[in-house]
Amino acid sequence: MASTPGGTPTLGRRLAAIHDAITAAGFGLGAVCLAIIVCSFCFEVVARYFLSAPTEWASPVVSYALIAMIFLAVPELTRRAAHISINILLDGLSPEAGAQLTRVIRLVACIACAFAAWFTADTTLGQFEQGIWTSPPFALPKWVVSIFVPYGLLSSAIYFLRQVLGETPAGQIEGAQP
Amino acid sequence: MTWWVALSAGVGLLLTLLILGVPIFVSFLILNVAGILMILGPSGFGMFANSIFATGTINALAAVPLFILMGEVLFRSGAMEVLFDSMDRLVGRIRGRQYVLCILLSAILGALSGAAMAVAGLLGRSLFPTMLKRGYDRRLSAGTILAGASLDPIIPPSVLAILIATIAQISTGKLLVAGILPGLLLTVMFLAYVLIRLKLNPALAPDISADDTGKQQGSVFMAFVNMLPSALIFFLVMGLVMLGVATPTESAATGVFGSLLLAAGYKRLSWQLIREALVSAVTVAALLLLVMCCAVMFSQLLTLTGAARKLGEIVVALDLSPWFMLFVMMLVPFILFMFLDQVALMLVLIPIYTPLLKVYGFDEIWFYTLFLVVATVGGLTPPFGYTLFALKSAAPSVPMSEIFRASWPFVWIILLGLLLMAIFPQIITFLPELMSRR
Repeated sequence: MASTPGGTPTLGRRLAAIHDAITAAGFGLGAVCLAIIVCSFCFEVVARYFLSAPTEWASPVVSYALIAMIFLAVPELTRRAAHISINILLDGLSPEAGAQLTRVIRLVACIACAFAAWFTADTTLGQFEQGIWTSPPFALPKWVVSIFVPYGLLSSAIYFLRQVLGETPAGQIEGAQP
Repeated sequence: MTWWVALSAGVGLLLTLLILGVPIFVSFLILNVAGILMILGPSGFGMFANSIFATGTINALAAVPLFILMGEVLFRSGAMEVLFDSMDRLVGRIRGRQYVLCILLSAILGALSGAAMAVAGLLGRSLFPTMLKRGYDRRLSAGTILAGASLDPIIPPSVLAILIATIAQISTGKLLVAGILPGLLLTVMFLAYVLIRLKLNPALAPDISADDTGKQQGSVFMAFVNMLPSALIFFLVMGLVMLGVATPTESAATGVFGSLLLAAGYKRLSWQLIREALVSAVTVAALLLLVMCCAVMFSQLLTLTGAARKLGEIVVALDLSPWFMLFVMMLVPFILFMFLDQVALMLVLIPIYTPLLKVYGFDEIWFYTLFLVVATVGGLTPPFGYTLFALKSAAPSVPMSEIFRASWPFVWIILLGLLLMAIFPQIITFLPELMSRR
């Protein structure tokens, strides 16, 4: 995305920078969620086996933190084009054909993520309007937990769109297989 | 629409999307959206949203990021260097010691992490150049690294085992523990193969004198002592599960805590280490769990269409012998894992297999451990095994064709091991049954 001749960022570039900043903050929050999972379960082990006083909150907190961790991290993974895929066909194509196919795949991925963001947001909105809560103990309004799902999918859809429009992904990562 | 048309169309659509290179989570999103539109109509999207939410909040899946985090902290803590030196000392002066060292180190690394690619990369960068410099056979060296790395998803803690247990809805703790003896059996088989090859062709390794680093002259006792902290982490994790003291998730969190203490003991603990390990763990775990969240709806659709039940009825009507059925149920993933992603294929096959296990009365822990071993082989089989590419990226000078050839002998050994585990199920079921008796 270009700058104006005077060096002032265009609106598109500014929006992209804001999007990247939100994504980076979300990813950092995802890492905090993992730290919360570690601390919660370590505390639970100590409380249950050494103090004979198991907590009621550790297990639900871990569940909430897990889904938040996954979907807060997803946009950053899309920004880096790090999602797991099978490149049998892409590797066998010429660079030009490969680039065309990659563009089509990203467009399809953008539509799929945007659609999924829509119906998960609709469900989350329904939870908010109907006042649905998670199961006790440590119940929360369900939308507070499930809102991370549409956020992750919508932000990913935007990244796929940015890549379709010509932006280069930030780079792939190794070691994503178990 | 009949169930078999729906099933064939669904699997066909998924395979097409995957082969085209569509990200796996997007492929499952499209498959499930299409399935919902055909079977339930637009009102079913709420069910899909709830399936994503329910999967993302499965407590047992928290073990995935925790075990990855534990491995990441250990890799950065200095524990690996200590283990490397200690094993180097313990293996002693034998011909082909680097082969032996490579396999034993891989087994130990498998007990501390669970990622074959990470270990293949680590050993490819550290041990492989040393082996070549000392005159070890290039192909056998590459083969031992690949074989060793393939032990890691079998020996607990194993991320693949947690995913399989979650999809199949069986005990995560038992499936993790079930991998211990098969992992040891395969370690012994790999060692036996290497030693027999050396006996038949001593030129595969240099003379003992040329292979002497001087490190192995230290105290054996001290080597054991130095390994104790890492061993303690393993027993902290798997021991707590086996004793029934903690769930796999709780023991994984305890393992993370232990690995941080170990890093502090080795004077490597810093905010930078914690940050890097967290970022790496979140990245890898989110990639895997996102696929899970988007895919689980597929098994619910299979149930809704009646495909799983009908498939079971057909298998009953075919009246195939259990051994033949087991052979087919292992052959299908063996072939497909050569071309397709392990997690994606597991998410398709396990919901189809689960009702068939009940028909044949197969023990679920036994069957899914065999399945785990087959999935592991998938990382090792040409042309698209991930572990092969991890080694290639760590050792770019080795031609891909040679890495392919290096892997095959060990693929056959694992298949022989698989046969032994099928004939003698106690190799798999002994430890989980011990857990049940407690």
